[in-house]
Amino acid sequence: MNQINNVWHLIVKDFNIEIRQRYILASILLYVISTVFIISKILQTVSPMLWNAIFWILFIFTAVNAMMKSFNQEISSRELYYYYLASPVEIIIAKFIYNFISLIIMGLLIFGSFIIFINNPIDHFAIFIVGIILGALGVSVVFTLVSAIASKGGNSATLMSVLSIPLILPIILFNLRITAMGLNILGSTTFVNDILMLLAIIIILVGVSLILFPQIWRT
Amino acid sequence: MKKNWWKFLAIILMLYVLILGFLMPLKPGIISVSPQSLNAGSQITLKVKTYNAKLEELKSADFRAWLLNDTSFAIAASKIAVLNAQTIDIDFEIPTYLTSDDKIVDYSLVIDAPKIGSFVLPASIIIKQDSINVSKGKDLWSKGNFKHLNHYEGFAIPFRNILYETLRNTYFHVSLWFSMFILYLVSVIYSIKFLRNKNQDFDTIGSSLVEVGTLFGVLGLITGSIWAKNTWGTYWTTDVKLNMAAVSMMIYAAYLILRSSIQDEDRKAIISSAYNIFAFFIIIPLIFVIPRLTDSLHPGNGGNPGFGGEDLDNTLRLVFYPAIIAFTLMGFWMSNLIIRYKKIKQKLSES
Amino acid sequence: MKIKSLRKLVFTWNYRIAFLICILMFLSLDSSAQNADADFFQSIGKIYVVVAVVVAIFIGLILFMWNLERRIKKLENQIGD
Repeated sequence: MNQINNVWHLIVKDFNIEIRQRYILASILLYVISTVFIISKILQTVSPMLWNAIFWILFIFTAVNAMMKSFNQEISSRELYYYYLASPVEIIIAKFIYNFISLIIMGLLIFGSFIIFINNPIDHFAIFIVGIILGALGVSVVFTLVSAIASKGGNSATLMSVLSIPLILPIILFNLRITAMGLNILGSTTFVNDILMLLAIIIILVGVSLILFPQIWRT
Repeated sequence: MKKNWWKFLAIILMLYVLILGFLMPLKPGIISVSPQSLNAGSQITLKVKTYNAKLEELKSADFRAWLLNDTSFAIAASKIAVLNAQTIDIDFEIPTYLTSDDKIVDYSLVIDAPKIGSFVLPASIIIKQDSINVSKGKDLWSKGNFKHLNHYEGFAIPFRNILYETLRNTYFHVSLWFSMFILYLVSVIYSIKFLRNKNQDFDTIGSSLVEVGTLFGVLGLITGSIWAKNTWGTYWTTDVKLNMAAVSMMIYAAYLILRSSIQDEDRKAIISSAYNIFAFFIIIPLIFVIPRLTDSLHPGNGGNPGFGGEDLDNTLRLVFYPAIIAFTLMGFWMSNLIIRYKKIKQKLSES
Repeated sequence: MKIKSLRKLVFTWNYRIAFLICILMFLSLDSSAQNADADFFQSIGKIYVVVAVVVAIFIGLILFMWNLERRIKKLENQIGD
């Protein structure tokens, strides 16, 4: 009960920081909208397949930008105090959940701006939303640990993108398949199978990072 | 001397792989047939270019040949003449009707002789028919007497179309990938060991194994692209296995970058071990799960990413498995050198 | 000090360039063979492809040794100082 409480407080703390530093949210919003605007100006007509690909590329790069600071901002003594109270496992779970929620919001943001500025080729809306949610889940799991590694590794801006983009590929490939089903490019016969496989991968990665994070955190 | 037995084993196995890998002959096969499209009811002479068939050692009368599209429907050759060591002329009288109600039907050419056995070029000849009569066709095509085939005498690796001698690359290209995976697996075990009891030696071993594994992976990519150029026609394709392999190389290149970016030795060891373990769990779906989902030019596509069954003949196994062991032992040897270098470096920096 | 580090840089780049030239030579050997005699790699049942693969692995091992020797030389210099 105490642990859940701790996790909850950490999440609330993260959101408070986010809301107080409004420029971070605003910069991500501007990044997404300006990129989508450029894409819509360059590619006059976008086929569903291209739409899908660009969506995930933008998703990854926005996520890298957003996650970069995920462990970097925890320098001031107040945050150290927080972490003195909470165990590493609670910290990483809190980060997972916080990153997951912010990535869902980001995904929906990108999705919305795609529909407004480019076009709306979605056939099965529910499948597509499931794709975004699972994508946010997978990306948050991988990027949380990688950003912890990168922040401990010194110059984290370049390190983060070098480490995270190859690592995210297997999860993104599954998500591409799922959202392609949502766009009706791919038949949705293997939908359940793909989702189960993706969930299995994510669960394994969550387990691995729960074991590894305390080790990294102590350094 | 006793401690180094595995190095000698590596050398002996490597020699065994190189010698047997190159010297074991290829079974005879058909490289090309011309003309490739025929008309039903005509008499035709096929010019067949064979490979490794040792035609000069055999007489024309030894040969038998068939055109068939199922083992039950075949016609035998009317006349066979060996022209030179590679080419052979085969005469066929094509019946007026074919065994199917399609206008165009594929037939395979089978050649058989004592000592060199029988060999086939599947779906090599297209026959066109103007009028269709399946029952008469079946009657005409059942006079082939397609039985009592000879077997190849001696040890030889199978003949595969397009691949020909490059089938031997299985020993070098494929076993490099296998031993790369073994090296990574062992390095992950050492990373786990390191995180459990923080002995710096374990991290040295793990990182050295990753260095050698990455070298093997890069060599696997280079050898694969040389092979691909000569069988698929391009150095790089959009094939899944190829691209997943490239991605796993990128992941391990990121590992090496990560290691070089951290100065503090303890922190470097802990963080890179954690990354190594995490990366390995991501590599597993890359190599074993995703190739199942899409088609691949590599063997074992569409459902089974494994390598075996029809693709791996027993004679291939005889060299392929030793090749894996040889490359793995070589990898351990190479990483052993790096480990010793790193230990000396640590001692120097401490003193 | 500055000159020494510059020299070091040039030397490491020498090795890198040597490595690059090795690769380029190998590739050019391959591609020129394709142009001059299109059938060379395809001749005798494509056996030269296997030879090229073995040579590529051999070059890889040589480069490994070269690299290791360079690293050991650095240690030797360190002991010498």
